[in-house]
Amino acid sequence: MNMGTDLTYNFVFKVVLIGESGVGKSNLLSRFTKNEFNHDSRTTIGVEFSTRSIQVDSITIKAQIWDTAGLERYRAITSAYYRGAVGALLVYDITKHLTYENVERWLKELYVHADPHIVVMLVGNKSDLGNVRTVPTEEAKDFAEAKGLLFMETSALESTNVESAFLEVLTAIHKKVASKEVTRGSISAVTLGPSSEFNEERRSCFQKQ
Amino acid sequence: MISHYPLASLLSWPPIPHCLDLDGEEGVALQRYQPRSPESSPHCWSSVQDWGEEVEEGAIYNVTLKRVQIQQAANKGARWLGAEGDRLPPGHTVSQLETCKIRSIRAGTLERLVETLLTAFGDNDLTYTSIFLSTYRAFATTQNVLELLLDRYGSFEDCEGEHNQCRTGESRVAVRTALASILRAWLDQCPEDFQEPPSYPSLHRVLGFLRKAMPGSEPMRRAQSLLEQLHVQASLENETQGGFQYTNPFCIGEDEEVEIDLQEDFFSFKVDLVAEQLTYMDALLFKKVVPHHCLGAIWSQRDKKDGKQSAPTIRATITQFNAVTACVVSTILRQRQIRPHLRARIIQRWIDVAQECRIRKNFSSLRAIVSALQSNPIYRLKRVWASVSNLDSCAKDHQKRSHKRLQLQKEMGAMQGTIPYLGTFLTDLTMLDTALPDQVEGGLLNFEKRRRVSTTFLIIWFLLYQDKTPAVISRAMAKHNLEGEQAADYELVQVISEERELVIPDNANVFYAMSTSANFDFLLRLRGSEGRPVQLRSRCSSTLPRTQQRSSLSLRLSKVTL
Repeated sequence: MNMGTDLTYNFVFKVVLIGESGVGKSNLLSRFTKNEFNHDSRTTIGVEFSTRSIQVDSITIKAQIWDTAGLERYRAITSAYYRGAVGALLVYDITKHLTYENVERWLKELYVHADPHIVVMLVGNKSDLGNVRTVPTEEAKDFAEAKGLLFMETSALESTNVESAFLEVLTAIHKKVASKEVTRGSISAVTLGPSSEFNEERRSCFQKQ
Repeated sequence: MISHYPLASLLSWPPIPHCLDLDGEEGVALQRYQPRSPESSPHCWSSVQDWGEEVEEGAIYNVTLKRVQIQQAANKGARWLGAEGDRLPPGHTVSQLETCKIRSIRAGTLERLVETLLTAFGDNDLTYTSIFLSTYRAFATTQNVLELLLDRYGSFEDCEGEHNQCRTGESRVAVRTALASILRAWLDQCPEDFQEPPSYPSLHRVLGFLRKAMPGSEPMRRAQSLLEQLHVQASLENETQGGFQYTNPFCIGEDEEVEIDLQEDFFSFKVDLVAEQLTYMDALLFKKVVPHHCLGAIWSQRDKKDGKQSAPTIRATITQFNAVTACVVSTILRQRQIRPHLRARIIQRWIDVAQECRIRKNFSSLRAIVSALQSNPIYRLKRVWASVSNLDSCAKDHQKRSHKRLQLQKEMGAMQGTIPYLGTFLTDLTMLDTALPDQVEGGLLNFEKRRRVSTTFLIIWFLLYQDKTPAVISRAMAKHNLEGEQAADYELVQVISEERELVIPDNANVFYAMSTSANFDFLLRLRGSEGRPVQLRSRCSSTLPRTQQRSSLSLRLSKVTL
């Protein structure tokens, strides 16, 4: 993310990963961003998210993906973490029904804190463990449909659908923005081109620290 | 970025270089990761050379060659390393390059990892024992490790079997001595491992071995006093809790809300008093933190059925953190009918408290207050914030603020403080835990992962390590069999360079007094003997089980003189 390449993206979308602990949120993140989490540098600089730039229809989108890894118990911190998010992956573990039952609670929390136009995908992770599945695909799919969420089953371990899940969410966000379904400013973390970089910086004064 | 990180250089294995793309004013994201070959940056890494891998049955080793310049009298440096230098005539000085072969286990079966406790020192992998002890809970239990260690190596009968063949009486004594030293380090570093009421089987096992192997020795006394201590503690708890089993006295249940009754007017308390009080509370909790409770593998189990009781010391700090944020939010919102500028004054007051916390290096409460101010109920008070900005002319200046923020992050990360915000470590350890595999090819346990995890522990340890100079001196003396002598006769010296040294003042907190830009090369010296040869040399971090120095297990020739 040096200054040179910074100018080449058209959008920055903040996406949050939520769900019970142990469902594999951090694994999905590390799969998608392919970062080695070198903790030395993270601690030193205080980075709280990972980024990856992707191309959608000749447009470059920088995905800024936030993960609460290990911080779920710090209540005030997770509340601030939703601010400015335009996408969310709500993750559960297909082998642990309880993590699926709690999806509704997470959804509620998400809508309390986040932008009403946020794009949400329900993600059933650990699809490689199909033989010990406790959450039927159809049930989750129907639930997602009823709630107006995108849906996908992934395996961070085998790298199945991880890329597609993130791409689908980012594309959906981009569609929303491009179709002017939402006016700019309503989805607040969206930055158009380098000229409005100042806005992003101002916002992040509150997002980080 | 490593340079920000004084502690990285304490480690005997080379820090893994990585490339960072920095993004000027804004935050910094790790974009890519690229291991560099040692040659690519002769500046920092010229003294360490990767020598490849050695594969044995059930174990894979990384081998590096490290060139070290020996300037001091060879026998002294060598004495520290417990090596053959002892045989050199006294006063024989050598100034030459020595190549030291470091053979560090990268992955292995549990049996081999346990065995390595005995052999690592001879392979110049000086930090192995302490890394193992602080991380083994991720892949084994205390009972597992003790069984492997004592059944195989601590037996007193004549043993057969391939591992014990041709073991002479002398080498058996050496093994026992090494075992005792490992057990001592264990008792010192992680006494909570032996918290197994009511019968304390592991501790009895240890005690039984030490009684036979080294009756009356220091490690034996250590084990004995720990047992007594645990019994006393248990009986005290029984009295107060009517026979309820072990609970941590300092752990407030995480889900219990801490009621903060703010009948008093918040303004009646002085800003620095509030900060002082918060810091006092945080310090009490932080001192009790057990670093390995942060272990990703343990921390991420916290919500599982049997994980409810895990990591009580971490939970206690989080409870306090949440109580502080709740307090901030409630003082600001308690009065419903109140003019924005009055509410702004309360916010301003908290900002001042946060500032005072920062001065006190209390990053936990600082972070708690800042998080509370950023939480939705407060963040959305637009008109109130407008008044705050008017109050605080500094805040108007975004440039300044973003600079401040950057500085704050650096402080929070690189230096951390008297009281750090543990969340940073929890995230790092959770990330590491998910990003690195537990096992490598062939199902061997990935010990490299544990090495990386332990870097973070080391930092937490250091932050807990609020010792004044005399305490550090006596610990170093104990480590090096100098217990018989007077600690007051020695001073602690940091060797900055060939010409310069820093004598750490007696009343100093070593962590803050030491120079972080120099090598972490410390020595103990008899007072008033400046200019005379060095007494002891140490890297301050390496937990060096002292009796391992005498262990003759290091049969491999691991040193090459160029």
